[in-house]
Amino acid sequence: MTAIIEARGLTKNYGSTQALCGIDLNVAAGRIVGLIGPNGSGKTTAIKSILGLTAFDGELKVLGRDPRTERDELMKEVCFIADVAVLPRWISVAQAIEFVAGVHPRFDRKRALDFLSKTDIKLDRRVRQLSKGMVTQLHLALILAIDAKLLVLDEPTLGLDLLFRRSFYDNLLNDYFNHERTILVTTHQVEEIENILTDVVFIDHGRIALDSSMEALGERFTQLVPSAGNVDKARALKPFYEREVFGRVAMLFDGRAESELAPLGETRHPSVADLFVAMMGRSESNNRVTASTKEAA
Amino acid sequence: MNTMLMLVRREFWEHRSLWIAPLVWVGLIIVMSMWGTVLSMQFEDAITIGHHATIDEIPDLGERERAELSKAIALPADQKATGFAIMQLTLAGVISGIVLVVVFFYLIDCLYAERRDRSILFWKSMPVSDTQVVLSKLAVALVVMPLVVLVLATVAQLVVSLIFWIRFHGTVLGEIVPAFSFTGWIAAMWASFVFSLGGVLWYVPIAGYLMIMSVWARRAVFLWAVLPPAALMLLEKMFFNSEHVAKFIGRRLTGFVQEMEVHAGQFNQGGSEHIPTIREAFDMVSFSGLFMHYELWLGLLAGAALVYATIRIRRYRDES
Repeated sequence: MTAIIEARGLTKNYGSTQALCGIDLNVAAGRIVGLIGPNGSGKTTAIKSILGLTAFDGELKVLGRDPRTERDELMKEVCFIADVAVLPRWISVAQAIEFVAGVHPRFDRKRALDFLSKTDIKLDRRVRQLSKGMVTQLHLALILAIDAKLLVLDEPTLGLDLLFRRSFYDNLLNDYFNHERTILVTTHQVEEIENILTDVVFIDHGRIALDSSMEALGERFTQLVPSAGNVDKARALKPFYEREVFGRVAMLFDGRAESELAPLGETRHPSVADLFVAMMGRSESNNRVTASTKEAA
Repeated sequence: MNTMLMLVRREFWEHRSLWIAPLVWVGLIIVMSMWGTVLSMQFEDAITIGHHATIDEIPDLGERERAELSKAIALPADQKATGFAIMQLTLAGVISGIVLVVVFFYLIDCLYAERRDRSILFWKSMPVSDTQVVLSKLAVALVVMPLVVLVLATVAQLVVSLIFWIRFHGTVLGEIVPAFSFTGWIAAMWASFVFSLGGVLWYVPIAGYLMIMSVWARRAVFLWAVLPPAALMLLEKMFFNSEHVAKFIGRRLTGFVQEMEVHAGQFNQGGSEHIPTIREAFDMVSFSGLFMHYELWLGLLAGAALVYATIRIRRYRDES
């Protein structure tokens, strides 16, 4: 498989604070990678480096190109939604389509119009007249109509309600994704996207804390809720994280076979959100993720 | 090329004052000229020459005035063309005035607006280079808008001429001032064009300065654009009691007109006024002086450096 993103020792300093401390990262073609980390972990800096929006040190190739020097070429094959509501407020829907069609050689106008016809968005509306959810739909319509090799989504659904978030990811999977395309997505709402991801990367304090495919994740990590008498036995197997849920202890194990743990109580595969809290919560509590994990639990 | 055209169109979508303000201005000029014409019908005495078909019909006119008017009617066409050309040039000048103001505000806003409304990341997600974006904005200010002035000046002149003709043809005034003169128009267009070209080239460093402020300032671009030169002038006056900065800036604002060496005075020969023929009027203005002037080329060099810096700054300019 060809590497879409290849980073070696990717480093970025803002004054004396280090946002990225020499990250190594490989993303192969046809993957959907979730880049997950708390605020200030460096994930936005990583994304900006990949998109050539910021200068950095170290080696980084995106589609075989250096984003620092070959950004203009790169943007023909890379698309991104950096944040919600970054479409200019003065532009009309028709103008936005006209513009992208005018400057992007890989844009399919019909595709964008088809997508929009399924929404309530009228072509003569200006962005400032649309609701936040509609702006995101419009942005998505523009981006999904571009035949790009790499799509980068940085918090694409921030501030949207659950219905919009759900349909956003449905559209992404059904209308866009195929095995020649690669998607890199960051979000706080981990639990909403974990079933669409093929890979997950945790980033914390500018370092990669975890880089794994979803299948390997299931094999490597096990959650155990030991039955009453087995708590100490389970602890002897060295869980890397423990928490109390409804008076019972839930433990997370790294690299223990499920067959070894199953006799001690209930086992299951931890969710990405569980792992995130376990691995990140030790150093820093991120309110949003912690809260959503509680909901999930 | 298509990308460039699209980028230029985009500018007119976003900065609607670029076309609305000049159109409103031309509309006002036309309405005012119509209104003036209507007024001239009510105040008979003011423009008596506009009411009578021949000089003899005008009452209460002295012998000298009659002679002057006959002389004016008898002027050859190429001298009357000059009158028309001056009217056309004046219109172009009046329209340029408003366009200069509009372009000033456009330039300080053009690279700031995309950061203010946070749309810069959307523009940057398109396969358009920073060079293309900055040059498209520069082209709007220095190429498209001057052409807009020439087109609007012609349209306005045609409409005003038509109004003038409807009102005054067949009168003494209509005999003296031609409603339309093709040679006059061509001459005025050529002069406007060369004046614009001179002005545009002379103003390149100013445009570059405004753009770099627009791409660099985090807020209050207008103040960043205006205060530094004003502060420099003030400080220099306070501490050195001299005015080099002010002179430098004044030279940058008006120097191209000075270098075009308009010799209007030379036609006042021997006390009696001589109206130049259109050909003579041409020779009044020396364009070559400006285009050979070292200050023009130094300015272009400085402007190119500023535009290059603007492109470099936009490369990594996003603050969201």
